[in-house]
Amino acid sequence: MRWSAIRTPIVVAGAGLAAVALLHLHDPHNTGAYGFCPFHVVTGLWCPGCGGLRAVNDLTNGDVIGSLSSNVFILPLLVVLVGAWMLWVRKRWRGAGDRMIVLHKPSAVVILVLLAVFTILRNTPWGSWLAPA
Amino acid sequence: MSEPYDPNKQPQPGPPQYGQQPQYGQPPQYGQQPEYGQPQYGQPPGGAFYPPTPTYNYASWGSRVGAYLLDSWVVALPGTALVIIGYIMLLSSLTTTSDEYGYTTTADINAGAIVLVFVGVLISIAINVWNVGYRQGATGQSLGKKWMGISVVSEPSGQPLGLGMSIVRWVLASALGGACFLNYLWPLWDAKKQCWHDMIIKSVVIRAR
Repeated sequence: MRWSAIRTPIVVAGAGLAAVALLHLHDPHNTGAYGFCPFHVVTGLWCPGCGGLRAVNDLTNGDVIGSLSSNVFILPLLVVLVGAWMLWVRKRWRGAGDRMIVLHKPSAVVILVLLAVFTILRNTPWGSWLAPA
Repeated sequence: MSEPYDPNKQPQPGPPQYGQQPQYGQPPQYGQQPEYGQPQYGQPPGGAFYPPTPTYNYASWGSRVGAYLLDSWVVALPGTALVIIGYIMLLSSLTTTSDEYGYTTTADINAGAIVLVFVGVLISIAINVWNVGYRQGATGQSLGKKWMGISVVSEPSGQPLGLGMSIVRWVLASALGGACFLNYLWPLWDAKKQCWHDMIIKSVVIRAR
């Protein structure tokens, strides 16, 4: 039965929506609401994920500008995830495909370089607009 | 029967033939030769002239997490247990006293507990050098990976990494994983199910059977 093929995507979507709902109700703008980023605690620097939870919370309140100034990568990441999920469902419905996202070497390198540049920039005065606001 | 885990043991576990001069005009082929009649993992039988990079049956992310937990919390337990006991002794030996003016002093560091923590860390390192460095370097499997049925090999050759590279891989994994947890999640979406330390030293984790 085809429905069994898309059981995993449905579970994944459910988990994602539950996480978004939690981030909407339990506001990560309150310091320490979800603990602390260990990288930030140890080094005092912003890691590439810092501001990510706040950015999701901003989006659930319709605040796109706030989201981008918390972590500029979260909005595009969520768009990509939703798109990849829909393609995944279509593939699995047709009886093919295993994982939702499969990154090959070139795209992995591009993403890692982007994250590295982003991490350096948001910790310098010139990139302070990329630091969590 | 002492060590039944290793049917493929060969006298030269490291990546073969480094430092051998490739002939001029020929592309170097480190580790690509079909070696000593040993079967390449996952390669179809009856090999071609130029075996392309062997096709692997990559280990699942869950099995790797399982092996990691087994290696750090079961195999290395003699060391970690001493560390934990030492910490508990250390914390409970700290006595906090308040005098009549309300000042508090914390004193009496238990020297024995500090020695216990120190010895525990040394034992953990020794166990990991044997388990993750020597054993995984020679056979492809730490004890945790053996129990999970998975194995680490060099991607170009399909051979175990050898002691040196296996220790480099372990140190890289700890450093990268400590700096960013994404390193440990990367196999979930990577085409070859590699972590960053796997990409750097060109290793893959595969199913052993």
